Amino acid sequence: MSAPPAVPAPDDRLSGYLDGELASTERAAVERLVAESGVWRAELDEVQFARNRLRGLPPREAPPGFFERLLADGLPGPARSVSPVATRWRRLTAAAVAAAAVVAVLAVPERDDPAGGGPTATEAGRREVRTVTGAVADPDRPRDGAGADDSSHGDGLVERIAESFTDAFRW
Amino acid sequence: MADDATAPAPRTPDESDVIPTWEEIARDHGRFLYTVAYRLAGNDSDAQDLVQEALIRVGKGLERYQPGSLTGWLARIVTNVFLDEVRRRRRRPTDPFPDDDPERVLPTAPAADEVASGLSDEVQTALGALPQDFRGAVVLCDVAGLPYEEIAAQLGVPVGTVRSRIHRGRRLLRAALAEVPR
Repeated sequence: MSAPPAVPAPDDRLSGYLDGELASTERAAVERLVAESGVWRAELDEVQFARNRLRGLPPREAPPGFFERLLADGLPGPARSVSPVATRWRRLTAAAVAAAAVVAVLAVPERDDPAGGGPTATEAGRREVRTVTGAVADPDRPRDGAGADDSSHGDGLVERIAESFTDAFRW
Repeated sequence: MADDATAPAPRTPDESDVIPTWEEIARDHGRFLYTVAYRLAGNDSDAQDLVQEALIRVGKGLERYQPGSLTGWLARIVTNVFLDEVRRRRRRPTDPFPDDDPERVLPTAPAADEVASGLSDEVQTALGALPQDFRGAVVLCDVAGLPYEEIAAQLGVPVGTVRSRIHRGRRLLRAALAEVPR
């Protein structure tokens, strides 16, 4: 008389069975083993318990405003069409504001000249444009003496503004 | 005997011939992405980072996307981001994911609905304690609802390996939930 065939240990076919991922022959084999073996039945129950728990987890909500911020920021990187244009306009605006500041800084000492011989507004503007572009040195501006401090202060600022213009138009 | 359990996990209806825009994906599938990311990472901070990086990759890959299983594609991307991050942190272990650091296994702040529902935080803790390979397979199967073949393709492993990882992952999870009443 031959001994009954040994029942194999439960294996990953049980998960395949629960997930509907077995071929018909494998499925039939698992069903037979589960029907005949308490060990297989117990293992099936355990795995099914874990599976049901996982599948019963609720959706996880992102913190409030998370996706709104992502959508507002848009897609980062090269695909974001707004970025280069916006950056250029920001640079140009900053350069224009800086240029206006130069006008204000350079105009104040000239108006306070006690000799009353300051340049007209047109002359001041011409001087600033020449200086900013660097094309022409200001022939009227003293190189030393009382006006030298003002001049050096203004030139340093002008140089910085010129650099910002250069940066702005590099695009 | 397993009739109710063999039904596929609920999925987002995503079988469409229309390729969505990046904004539509972020708006309409963000919750799905975040859920998968959170189940993989185990905390909100890392989940946010994963989703952000996943959406960047979605934006880069959208032109090549072939209409089909959108949730499968999204799950694949966020899982790859997670696995890439795991590998990166292994090289520079300054900020490990939970299963590299038992102190971080506990979820930082279970969602209000999870607290109300009772046992979800224990399940998340047990999930976070699984080895990453097992966790990835289990999350793709039981959270994202993907079939084995798709999981295998996305993880780059044979279907048999997927089945083994899912089964072993579930057994470990069940052992971790041993104190939880049925």
